[in-house]
Amino acid sequence: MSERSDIDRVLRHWMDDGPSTMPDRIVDVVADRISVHPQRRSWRLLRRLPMNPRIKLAAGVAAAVVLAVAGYYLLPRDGGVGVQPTPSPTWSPRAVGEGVLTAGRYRFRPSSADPNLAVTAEVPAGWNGHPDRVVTGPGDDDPVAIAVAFLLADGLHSDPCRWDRLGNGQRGQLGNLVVGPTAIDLVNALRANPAYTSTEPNPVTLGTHPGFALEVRLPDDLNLEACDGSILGGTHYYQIFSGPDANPLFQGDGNRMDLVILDVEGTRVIAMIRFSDDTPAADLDAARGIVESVEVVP
Amino acid sequence: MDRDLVERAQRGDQAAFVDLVRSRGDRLFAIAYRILRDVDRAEDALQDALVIAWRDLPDLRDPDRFDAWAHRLLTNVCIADAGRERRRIANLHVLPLDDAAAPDDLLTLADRDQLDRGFRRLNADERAILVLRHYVGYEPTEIAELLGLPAGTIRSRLHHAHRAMRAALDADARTAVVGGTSA
Repeated sequence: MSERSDIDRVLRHWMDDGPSTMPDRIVDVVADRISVHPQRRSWRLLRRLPMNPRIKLAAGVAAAVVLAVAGYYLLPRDGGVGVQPTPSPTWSPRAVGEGVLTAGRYRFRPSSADPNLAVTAEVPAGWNGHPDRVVTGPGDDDPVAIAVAFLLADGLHSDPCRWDRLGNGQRGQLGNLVVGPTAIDLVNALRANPAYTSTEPNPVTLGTHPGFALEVRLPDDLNLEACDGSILGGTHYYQIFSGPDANPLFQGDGNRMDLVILDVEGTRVIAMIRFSDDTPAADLDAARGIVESVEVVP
Repeated sequence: MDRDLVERAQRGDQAAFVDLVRSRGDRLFAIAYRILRDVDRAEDALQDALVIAWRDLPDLRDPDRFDAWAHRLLTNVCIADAGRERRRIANLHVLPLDDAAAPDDLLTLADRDQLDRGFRRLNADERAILVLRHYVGYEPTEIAELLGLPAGTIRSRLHHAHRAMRAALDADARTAVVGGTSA
């Protein structure tokens, strides 16, 4: 096989993977948007219309009048701006792009299997986006940077240091602790695990969804080098939760995690703030503000 | 039947346009995702492209060319979006998702990771051209017509993109895994 046909085949095969179903909500959003967007008149058709000289003259006069009137009203007055820009309507929360974010409501995707499940939250300016489910605080080059993540977990690893049950270094593996499907099931399993400490859960409601809030704290003296990690070397870390959408963030020694675990119409959604004792209070307040603004679209 | 839908939409029939969105949306979304490699951005790009399509639809000369025309609009929106992408080294504290797919006889997970990295290093035009060629199946001359570029330019960019992707595949996988220390 030639080099060219080989790379052709590889690329075709690679591109066959990935989502190929449009999320249902796009139809609704587009229908809403076009209902207030007029279609452009077809210049192609207009050019074909015959115009007699009298109409041309009248059109020219009319255009001049329109321009004069518009110019009068557009002229700046008192040194001000002639026309205040009309803000663009916000049709839907923005996707979490990669890089520094401006303030606004953003959309997160906690599930790789269900693109319709969305979490939206208000994120302050200066936070950093990491598609599709994580934002980190300003100055995230700091290894103890604060992060807010949205995730799903189907269970727990009893020993978060030994999560690589298949021996292939892949995250997203099944945990060895079976956990029921509700928020309180997961809370109870976390509380029962001696590998970390956790606080009493408090009942909370985010949006219209009930759940529980608690803090989980990892020991300060973990020997991460002895933990599982990439089989290609270099990275060792804890994994508390199990499942394909459970671990978008490293977990390591001294990590503290504020968790809000919600029951959303049969799906358990977790909002996690990961921080440490060194995290500035202002950043922690901002992170809590993000979580408090959460709305979940099942 | 589709020609009828397009013509009705051209005359301002919103329901007909929504039917077109329903019938073409999956394909368009798949194209956007493959250029942008991000579900949310693909969704936003598709929404924007469809609204532009609605606005400009009366100017479409041949209703039978609706698909190619929509591909062009979408590709241009995706290229513009990808051009705005802030390029930065992936944050070491955030882990990319694992591909939970079953083992693949042609591509290993490491291959896919390398391809993904190589693809993201391409410029937006090259990414779009690769997707139009290998996912949609357009010939280089068709891509040239779609993007309004000379066919020779398309072939040249395809060649460069192929070379870059081949180099990405050949790269030592050990240099590409997520590195750094955990936090």
